Amino acid sequence: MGARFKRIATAVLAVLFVLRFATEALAHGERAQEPSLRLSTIQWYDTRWSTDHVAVNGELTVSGRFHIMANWPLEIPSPAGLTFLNVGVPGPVFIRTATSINGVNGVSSMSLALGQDYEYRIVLKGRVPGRYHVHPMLDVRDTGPILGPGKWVSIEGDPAAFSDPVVTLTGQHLDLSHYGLGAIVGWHVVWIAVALLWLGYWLRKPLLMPRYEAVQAGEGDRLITRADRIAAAVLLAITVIVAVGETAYTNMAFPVTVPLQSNQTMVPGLDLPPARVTLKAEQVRYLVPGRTVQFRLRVTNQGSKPIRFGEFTTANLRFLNNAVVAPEPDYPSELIAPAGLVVQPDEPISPGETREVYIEATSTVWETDRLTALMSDPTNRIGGLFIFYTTDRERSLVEFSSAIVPAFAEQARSSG
Amino acid sequence: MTAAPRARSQPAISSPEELARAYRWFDLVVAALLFFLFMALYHVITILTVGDWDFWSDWKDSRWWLSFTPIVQIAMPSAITYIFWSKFRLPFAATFLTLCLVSAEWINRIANMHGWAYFPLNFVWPATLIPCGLALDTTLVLTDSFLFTAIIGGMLWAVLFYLANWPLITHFLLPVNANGVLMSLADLQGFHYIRTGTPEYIRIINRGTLRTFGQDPIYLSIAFAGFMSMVVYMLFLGLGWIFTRSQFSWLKRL
Amino acid sequence: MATALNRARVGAASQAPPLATHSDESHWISPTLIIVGCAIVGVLMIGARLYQQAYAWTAGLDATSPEFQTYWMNLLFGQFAVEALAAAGIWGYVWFSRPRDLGRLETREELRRFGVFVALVFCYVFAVYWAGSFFGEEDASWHQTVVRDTSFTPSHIILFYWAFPVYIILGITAYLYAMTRLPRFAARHSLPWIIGVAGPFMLLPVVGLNEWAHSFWILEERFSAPVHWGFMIFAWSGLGLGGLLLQACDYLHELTTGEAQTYVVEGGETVIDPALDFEREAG
Repeated sequence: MGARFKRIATAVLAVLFVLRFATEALAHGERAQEPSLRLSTIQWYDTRWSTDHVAVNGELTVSGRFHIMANWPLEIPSPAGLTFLNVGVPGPVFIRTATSINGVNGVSSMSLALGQDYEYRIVLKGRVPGRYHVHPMLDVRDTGPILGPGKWVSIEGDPAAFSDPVVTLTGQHLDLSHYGLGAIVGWHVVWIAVALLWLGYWLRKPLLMPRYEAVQAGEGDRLITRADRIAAAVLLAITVIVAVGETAYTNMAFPVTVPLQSNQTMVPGLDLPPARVTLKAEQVRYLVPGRTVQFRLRVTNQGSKPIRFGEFTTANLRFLNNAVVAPEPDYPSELIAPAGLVVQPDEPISPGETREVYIEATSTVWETDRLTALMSDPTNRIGGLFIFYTTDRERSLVEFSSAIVPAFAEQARSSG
Repeated sequence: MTAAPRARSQPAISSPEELARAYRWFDLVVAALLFFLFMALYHVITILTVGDWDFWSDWKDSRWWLSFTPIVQIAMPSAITYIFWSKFRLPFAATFLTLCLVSAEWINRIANMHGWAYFPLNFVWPATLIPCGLALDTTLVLTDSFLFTAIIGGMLWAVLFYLANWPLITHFLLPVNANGVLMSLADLQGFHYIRTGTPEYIRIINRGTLRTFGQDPIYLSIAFAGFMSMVVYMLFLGLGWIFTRSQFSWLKRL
Repeated sequence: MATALNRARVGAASQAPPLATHSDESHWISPTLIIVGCAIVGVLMIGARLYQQAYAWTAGLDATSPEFQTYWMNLLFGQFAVEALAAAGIWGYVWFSRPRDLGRLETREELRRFGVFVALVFCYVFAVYWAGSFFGEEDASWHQTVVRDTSFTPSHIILFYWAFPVYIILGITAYLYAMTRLPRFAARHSLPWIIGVAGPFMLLPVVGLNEWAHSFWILEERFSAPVHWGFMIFAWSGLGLGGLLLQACDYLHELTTGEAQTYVVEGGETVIDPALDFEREAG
């Protein structure tokens, strides 16, 4: 019977082990967020993942930039409150070893400014084998998480080989993945044993009915005997002595400690040169049947070189003008619209010129990512970044924000 | 002595030995039932009040965790102690509850926090309230007084929470240089072991004020917790009293 | 007013009876019923947990994905169907098979039925443990780890829409059983028992408040948020089982000794258990 039970238990544990460590996780969570907020809050760009295959204990770096919309939705708290650079992964399948925003250590929560750009870096270490969608993300206090683009990354190897070595300022070398567990379990076992002593003392005697009947008869006072009081005194003494001893021993073993640390700091934005382009929206609408956002814009080139529309990006979608710019080879293809960015007219805009431009951004991802749920959203706004390029590949990023109106049938482009 | 009035023409049990065995069986079934009931009730209350501090080592600070936990957690032992002491003279409710709580928490941390969400157990270990419960129960036996149990036991409840649990978190308060920032090991655990839904700023921990008298507020937290534990103990005895009155509450069928 | 039987039994560990001897009345609470009932609950809960292990991370992170519909929304609808059928079937059986002998019940039979009732309460409490404790805290390990998606997450689908209904069904089953099989519970409603069943039942409607709040302003995943205190109030109602225990002790005394339970109240007056009067009403 014992051997059979062991075999069954081993089989169950083996199944659980396989289920636990052979996971494949999909994109998650962000599609449930309101479209107008995802389109108009933070625009992530230049996102790079250093690899898409990592060994257990191997390193993955996610880096890039994000722009905080100056025209942040007023109905939700802004990053000027407090933010935290986080990672969108299904739990600690990676560990996070280092992060930074504009060079400031990301262990801190940070206050960031509207209208500014920030450069971030996240270093991860593989821990649990599986295939995961890895996103940079920014938590904004009282607003929630705002996820950046995600890419599939696989972790391969033996999960038991994972280690998290740390050296303390007092010179101790330890593995943070299991350090201290022995002491914690040990002390818990001690206290559980003492509790069982006390409970066992009472359970060995008739517990309920005889005592209940005595109390109902008015004879409850004689139920607590001298032996009971001695036992109580002994248990109380043991409890106090063990607890005091536990504290004294630990204080001797760890003379140098610090309280929990929490740094909250303001981080100024990147000192980027101002974009020498202005955009004014004449009309923006979403053509439902064609899954197309149609822009009519008035563009003014205030720089000294001709510029062309290179890209429109919003809510992690990228619409590239294929005549101007190509996607990075390892960028997640599902985030790049196949139809690209259609710009009419697409000729370069000369310095000082103001031109009316018609732009189409078509993708099924508007629908599959629930961005077209704008129609059931109480706020219908669209935001994003237009990226312009000069012939020298100099880049200008221009924030764009506008109301958006759905259209249910194709109409003449010149009409309203 | 006048015999009690008859309730039945024939009792269900005819011999004293069989009666003793029947009562004993009732003891064991109720004890097992109380184990699961106390796990359920006390754990639910814990999760929804001090759960966040109990789940993660980087929440276990010297202001909120040390004070809030004892204050909130003494309520249920108080109410249930009233029932078992006033009706059975059984002084085991606080110990039983705290044992059930820590059992339920370990089951969960191992099966779910670790087994499902991959958190290392040294990050999600629970605190223990067992010594606190033992102090309450033994004080009640020694004093036979709810008032003195509230005063002495309530203060012991708070002090013992610190004495039994601060050594556990001390292991994780060793200082570390994390890329140029001072962190404790507990903070580093929170940083390393990613919680997508729990950013750093969400922690309700001691972040210092202009009036923490220049040092860790541990002893202030214990003193405050001790005082409030006494008050909460007395208040929730009243809740226990209400539920013992309900023994006589039978409502007419509509 | 204790009987001679009771005096001899108090406080003496050496007189604790051995458990080896079995008789129908000494094991008047059927161990078989407890074991089988708890085993069924255990299978339902462990099965749900294993399902989460297999499909939560792989198909449960994105409510808009087809995998989520397949593995989780279908499960949710299946759960509703199973629960509706189980509730109708079990409650219907308990109600329609009710005996009509409450006015002329033999004491031994009454004790046996009382034992069945205690066993059902045991199974109910066991199910409450799985819901409130096991899957309750498990919810934290999901929601504090991933981005909250919709109200239907792998943890919520099991916690609110499987574990909660299971204990609700068991609680009402136990309530109906007592109401139809035991004279005093047929004659009157036990207030602590009502609280002990209705209180945990109300956890399910409180879910509505919880999800409403989370979709509007509680955007951080802290368990200590005041919006969760609604759950706490109804968890406190579990103390009603304390009052039921006292009523059970009175009942057990009367069934096993044939004597009325009496209480010495303030002033030295002796009163008789009021529940005895109700039993005559049930016939």
